[in-house]
Formats: sequence, structure tokens, C-alpha cells
Amino acid sequence: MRRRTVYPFSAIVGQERMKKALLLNAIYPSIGGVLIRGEKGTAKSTAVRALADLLPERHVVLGCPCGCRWGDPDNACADCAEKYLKNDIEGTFEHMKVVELPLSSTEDRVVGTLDIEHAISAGRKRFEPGILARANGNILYVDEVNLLEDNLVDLLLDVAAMGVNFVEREGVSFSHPSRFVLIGTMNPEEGDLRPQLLDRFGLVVDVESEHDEERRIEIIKRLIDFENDPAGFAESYEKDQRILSDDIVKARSRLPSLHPGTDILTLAAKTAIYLGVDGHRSDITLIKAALANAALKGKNAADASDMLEVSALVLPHRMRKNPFQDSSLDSDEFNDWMMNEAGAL
Amino acid sequence: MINYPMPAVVGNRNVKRALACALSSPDIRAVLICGPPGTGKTMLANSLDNIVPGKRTVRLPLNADNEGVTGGLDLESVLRDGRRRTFKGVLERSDGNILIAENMSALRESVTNMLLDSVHKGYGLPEGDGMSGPCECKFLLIGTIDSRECLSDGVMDCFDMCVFTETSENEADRAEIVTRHIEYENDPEGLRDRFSDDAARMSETVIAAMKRYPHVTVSDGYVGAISKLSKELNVEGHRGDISMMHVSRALAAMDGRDSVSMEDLKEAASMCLEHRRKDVASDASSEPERGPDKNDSAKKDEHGDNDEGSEREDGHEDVPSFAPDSLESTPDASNDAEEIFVVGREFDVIDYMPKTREKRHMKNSGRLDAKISKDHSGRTVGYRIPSSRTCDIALGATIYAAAPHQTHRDRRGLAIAVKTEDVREKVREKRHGTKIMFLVDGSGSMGAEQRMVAVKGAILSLLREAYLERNEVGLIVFRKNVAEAVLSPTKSVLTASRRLAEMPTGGRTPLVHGMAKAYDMLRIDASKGYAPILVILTDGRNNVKYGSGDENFREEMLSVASSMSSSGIRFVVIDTETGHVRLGLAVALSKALAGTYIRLEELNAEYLKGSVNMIK
Repeated sequence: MRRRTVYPFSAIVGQERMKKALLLNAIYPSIGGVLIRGEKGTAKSTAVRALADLLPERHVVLGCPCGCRWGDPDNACADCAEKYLKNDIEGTFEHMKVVELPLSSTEDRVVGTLDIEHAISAGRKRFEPGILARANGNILYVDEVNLLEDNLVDLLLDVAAMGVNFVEREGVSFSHPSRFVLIGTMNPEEGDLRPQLLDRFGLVVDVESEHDEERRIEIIKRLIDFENDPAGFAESYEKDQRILSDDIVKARSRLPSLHPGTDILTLAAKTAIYLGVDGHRSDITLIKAALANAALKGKNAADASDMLEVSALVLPHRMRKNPFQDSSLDSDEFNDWMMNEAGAL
Repeated sequence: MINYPMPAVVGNRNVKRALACALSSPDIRAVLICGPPGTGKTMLANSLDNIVPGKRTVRLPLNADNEGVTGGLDLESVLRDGRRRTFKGVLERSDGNILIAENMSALRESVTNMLLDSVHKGYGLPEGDGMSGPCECKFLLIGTIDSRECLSDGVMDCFDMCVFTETSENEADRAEIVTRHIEYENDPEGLRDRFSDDAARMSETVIAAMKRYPHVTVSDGYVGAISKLSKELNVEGHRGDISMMHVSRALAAMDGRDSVSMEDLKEAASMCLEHRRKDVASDASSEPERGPDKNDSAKKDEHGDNDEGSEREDGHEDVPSFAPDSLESTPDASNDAEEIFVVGREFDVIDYMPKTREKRHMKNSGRLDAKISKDHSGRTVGYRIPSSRTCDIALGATIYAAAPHQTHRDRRGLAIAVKTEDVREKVREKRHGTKIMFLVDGSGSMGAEQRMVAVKGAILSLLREAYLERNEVGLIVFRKNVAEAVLSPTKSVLTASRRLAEMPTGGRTPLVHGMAKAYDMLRIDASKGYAPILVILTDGRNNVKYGSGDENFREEMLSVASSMSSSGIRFVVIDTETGHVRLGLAVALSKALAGTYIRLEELNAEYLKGSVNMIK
């Protein structure tokens, strides 16, 4: 079956911050994902699905349902570990995917469980991988993540903490790597997100519908064009798409050579202390996002301007004590403060 | 997988010390690591792996079912030759090792119970009938929990030690944390090698301490001091004393000494007794159930928050004192003009919520009560033999039930033949947040002296509290001749706070209308046994007739109130009356409702802390 044509990422009008957040994660997956908050009809889901087309290839173990990375026996699933020992293993290249976690999922489907069919027909125990297995090395997408049941949220958090899914159920004991980029979308009017889950998202963007008249018209035009002839529409953006995915590949290869300097490390620490955030995730994410931003721009080092550019994606949701305010850190005041601090270094 | 080496963990010295201490003594069975997200709880727990050579970490995942924990029937073996063998559960595999249970508050109750039962007994019992006897499992349990979550007192008491991870406030340390984190991600071997000398030294210390531990003694005087200290700190039971003995001996052993010193005792006390203390403040205050949250205050100190004195003053500012309302004046009737007051200052709220079951530890009081669900939703907590036809089949359990009978069944080419009597159905549990309805007096009198500003500030503080605990909140305002649901129960506090800001004030005071409306909105939850909470912010005044009876306003209010008192709703009356001459109507109302009574100014945790300190 041919894959349905998705709306091209480069054809999305406006929403620059959301696009930036998604691209940074495609470059540096351990940034920890994005939470996209906004009302209905702001291209949230479109953007996430469109990202799939731009994602790079991964070197994986051929036929492994858990998406084990090739040549990494230390972090392989139980089955692959056995194959490594027997030296009966092959690698292949696969595109990163967007794996969706539907709200109606059951615990069994998310975590994986005993393969019932195999048990009945062959009388043997076998692990049936769940969504967390398929999400390994890929993007795990939860639409309306704020409506996800609490016990599923707990399971996600449990796995995200270690990057490994340990399964102990229905007499099956199995473990496999489960490192994923968590992308969630939500409409804040329908309820809040639990603080523990919010903290797990590396970046958060608030999207609004477009206010500019001309841009609104452009959005409608492109949408109609796409609906009438998806393939033709996608084709007309092929060049833009290629440029963008080349940029991502280049940035990814540049990333390992970028090391955070003392200046931005200190700036990240000062920022976190200034804002009084809990824990150290904000510092880590701030640095990683700044590195990815520099890599995307083709720079050889990340500096204060990179950090300033990503700070609005990293910080607002981590600030202590204001679950109410529309997570707006007073950007002007903050920018001034940060530039001042950066200058002082 | 290569774990982050413990010596590479920046800061959190007390946690590292507690963990090393736990490794040094076979008598220390359980340590709880508590802290805000992103402070290294998981990292610290995992770093215990192989510090004592051969002692490995075993994880208890949240998804584990009962058999996964204790072991159960081995499917393959029973199908092959009809023999009942058991497979090893997590407990048995952790014998002689370290068991890590993260996010303890999210574990299923049955799993928590099995875990804590075997951690002190040293053996576990396999699930299911016909299983072999108890399995040997002596392990060190490391639990972790987010500081916003809670565990019951009983569970807390099972931990010998409870230590807190902290966010570093030092720039250089923070920068180092980031650098090492990225280094670990990119090159875990490199980081391990860089710290291999430190790690080796740490192992040596622990191993030497293990050898020395059996010979370390506690002088009789110190034994007496321990029990005296527990008593003084209001620690219940004797587990704390016993933990203190073990931990102080382990501390001495780590220092290479053969007898416990006063310093050891002090250090052990902070690790062993703090989490077992009963709410000290609640005993000192006149209303025991409304003590300030001591963990909250402890957390504050931890973050080095500014001096308390100024904060307390701020607390008073939030609730300005008003001129006494004279008995004769009827501002309600005259004041029909509407006004919208701004939202007053927010503050930390005391633990005001009435309790349903046992007293909970830590910040929360009624977060997410679990109920057995009947409608096939919620998470599976087990299985049972169905009492009638079922469509919610526990497939795995059904197969396990059928397996032992296979040798004498016609399998028709399959490995397993399932009969009706094998069918098991799922037992599901649903957790739900408590519904909290705020019923607010929006009449003209509330406009007097900006009283509404303070009330709005209070409500917002209460909403914030409710938000953190995943409760649903709603808002009803009564004024003029009606009660209006300004906000239907929602989890979106953003919406709630907006509505609150827009809420107008003015007109008469139809309190009974409000109570009736609230009752209407909560009674379904109440009848299901969810024990919703109605928080009434009022001075107890009522001046609009609800029914057609000939009672006066006060009598009508009280009779309606007492008829609602046994409805299953939990009531909290927050008295907004101020001044020196008080009518005490709200007190009467709360008595009639059999509810909790709090004065508005007492709601502020800082205020209460202040008054408790004064009593001392």
C-alpha cells in the first residue's frame, strides 16, 4: 500500500517557533521532545505528521520489532542480545517514524505483553512488543496528551526515566530499549497536564492561529490546493523539502563536534538560578537546544544568541510557582537580563 | 548498559552517603529517595549497581503484575510435561541484590504491599494456588518518589531511611552537571573510566565497612538517647529506633570506628526519623486536622527561601483586617451596584482538606483515590473467576488457568484447549481526582473594604493547590437572587482563574440557593462514594428566602445544612467574617454541615506557621 501523501512541512505557513522546536528535536533527539499547546486548527498535528518526511535514516538491526540500534549490544533488547552472541545478526537502514499513541490504548498495548496467539498455537512464551517498542529510536506522538489516562502517563514516565522498557507481566520477563522523542499536542482549554509529564518535555511551544489577513488567505489557498491534488502539491514543494532535510542531515553530522563552552554553561546555570527552576533538566535542555540551534545554522560553536533564541522554548513551563499565568515569561525584561549577563561573561 | 558512576554525581552528598551506608549494613533494608524532578533520583539509584562487586540492581517496573513480582506458574513447563514449575519473579531475582522501585506512589497497592512485606521478612510468597513454598529474597530496596507525591504513613515507616535530593544553587556545580550529563550520553565508557579510581575507592570503603559493621557497638547511654530522641520528635512506633541503631552503626563502620559517636547519631536521626515524625504543628494547634504541612516547610528551608519573618508579615497583608460589621447595617440591600474586584495576592495554603481514609503523608491529602471500576475502564490490577458471563477477559490469566489441565484435554491441534471454567476476567481499578466545588459569596457585603480581593486571592491559592493534585475544580457564586455556576468542574485551572478574575460582586446574599445548587452538582459523585468536597466561602449570612416555609433566614439555612450533612459530600466552611464583633453564623453553618471550619486568615500557611511558633 502506498503511503498517504502528507502535507509537506515546508508548506506550513508561519508557526515558526513550532517548526523550529520540531527541527531541533530532529537534529538532537535527546533534547526530550516538544509539547505543542494551542487551540484547534493551528496545524499542530499537521506539523508533527509532516515532520516524518524530513527525518533521517537510522542504522538498525534487521527485523527487530524493538528498533534496536545496530552495533550496540550493550543497549539491545533480549532477543537481539542473544543474536549478537550467536553472531547471527544483520543491520539495515530505516527512516525514523512517527509512532502514534492513541488515547484509547490499553496498558498491554503500550507496554507489550504475552503473545497470546503464540502461546495457544505453540505453547511457548513469547513477548509481543507494544507501542513503546515501536517508538524506540523514533518519535512517539500523543495527540491531546493532556487527556491521556493517568496510569498510561505513569508508564510513559517510568520508561522515559531509563530509556528502557522492563516488562514483567503475564509471566513474560523482557526488556528492550525505548528511547523516543516525545511529541504531544494539547488544547489547554480541555485541561492541564500533570507537572511530572510537563517537566519531561524538553521544549514547549504555544501556537496561536494566524492574525495576518494575507497569511490566512495563503493558508486556505494551500489547503485547498493540497486537498484537490495532494501528490501534485507535494511535488511542488519537493525542492524545499529536500533543502530542509539536507539541512537536518548536515546539522546532525555537525553536532558531535560542537562542545558547550564555559560561557554558555555558566549562562545556563545563571538563568536557571535567576528563574528559580526546580531540578537540572532546564540547564541541560537549554544547552542541548542551543547546540542544536547552532548546528542548524551551520555555526561551529553555540553562543549566547543561540541560547536566547531557544530560551522561550525551554524555560516558560519550568518556572516554579505559576501554573496559572499564560506561561509568559516577560520576554523583554528577560531578554535584557540575558543579554546583559552574556555581555558580562 | 553502563550506569552513571556514583562518584560522578555532583552534590547530593547526603544521598550518596545514605546509599553507601545502606550497602554497608545487611540490616538496612529500604531507602527512599525523595526530590523534585530532574535532581538525579534515578541516576543515584542506578549508580548502586556493582559498587559491591556482584551486587546488581534489579528494576521493578510499574507495569509488573502480581506474578511478575512474586513469580508464578511456568507456562511452558506445564504444557510440555504437565509439571507445575514456577518462574522467578522480580523479588526472587533480587535476592542478594538491590531492588529499585521508582515512582513508588504510582505502584499498585497490592504490589507495594507485597514489596514491603517481603523486604522486612526476607522471603516472598508466589502467587496462585498449588505454588511451591516461599522464595528466599533478601534485598536492599531503593524507592524513589517525586517530592510532590505522597505515600501513606505505613509505607513511609517501612523505609529505614528517607533522603532528599536537591537542586544545586551553585553556578559552577550546575555547569559541571550539564557537562557530565552530555559526556555520559555521548560516551558512557569514557565517563566511567574517568571516575574509575574514585569508584574503586568507594567500593573499598563500603566493603571495609561491611566487614567492620558486625563489630560496631552502641553504648547503652546512646541506646537510651535514641529512644528519647524519637519520643521528642514525636515518632510513632519502634521501627525508627531500630533503623537509627543500624544506620548509626553503619556510619561508624564507614568511618572506620568500632563504636557509635554522637555525630553518627545526629546524622542518622536526620535520615531515619524525619520522615516518621508526626505532624508536630498539628498537635500544638487547637484544630488537629488542620496542621500546616511540615514537609512543605521543610522543602522551603531546603531551597533556602528568604527569611520567614518577612513572609509572615506578607501573610497578614493578604488578609487585611476589616472594621467590625455592625449588626444593624444591611449593606446587602442597599448595595446593588456591581463591582469587579481584582484578584488578591496568592499564598501557600495549609492542608485544609478533610481526610477520607487514613492520614496521608506529605503534601497531598486526597489525591486520586483508587476505586475498583465496573465499566471495563481503568487499569487492570488483577483477575478473578467471573461470577457471570463476561466480555472483559483476562487472556493471559485464562491461558494460565487452562495450562495445568492440558494433559487430559483434546487440544485439536493447538497447544492449549480453553474451557469455560478457565475463563478469568480482569479486575480494573480507576483512579480519579476529587471534585472540589467552591461556593463563594458574591454579594454586596463582600465588596466592603476590599474583602473580595482577599477572598479571590484565597480562592486562587486553593485552586492552585487543587491543580497540583489533579483534582477537578468548579466555582459557584451566589448573589442577588440566584446561584450561578460560573465554572463547571474542570481540570483547567487556567480557565478557572480567568473566570475568577471576571467574577462580579454586588447584590443580596442567597446562601441557601448556592448550597442547593452545589448539592445538585455534587450529588452524583457523592452517591458513587467519591466523596467530593464543597468549600464554602461565606460569613454565614443568608438573606434570600429559598423555600416557602415560615422559618427565618438563619433557620432555613441551618435546616438545609443539616439535611445535607450526611450526603457523602465533605464540607469545608471558610469564614470570611472579620472584625472584633462576630456573629459566628459560619461556625453554626459548619456545625450543621458536620464540616471543617477555618477562618479565612488561617488558610494562609504562613499565618498558621506564625501562630504555631507563638504557641511554642
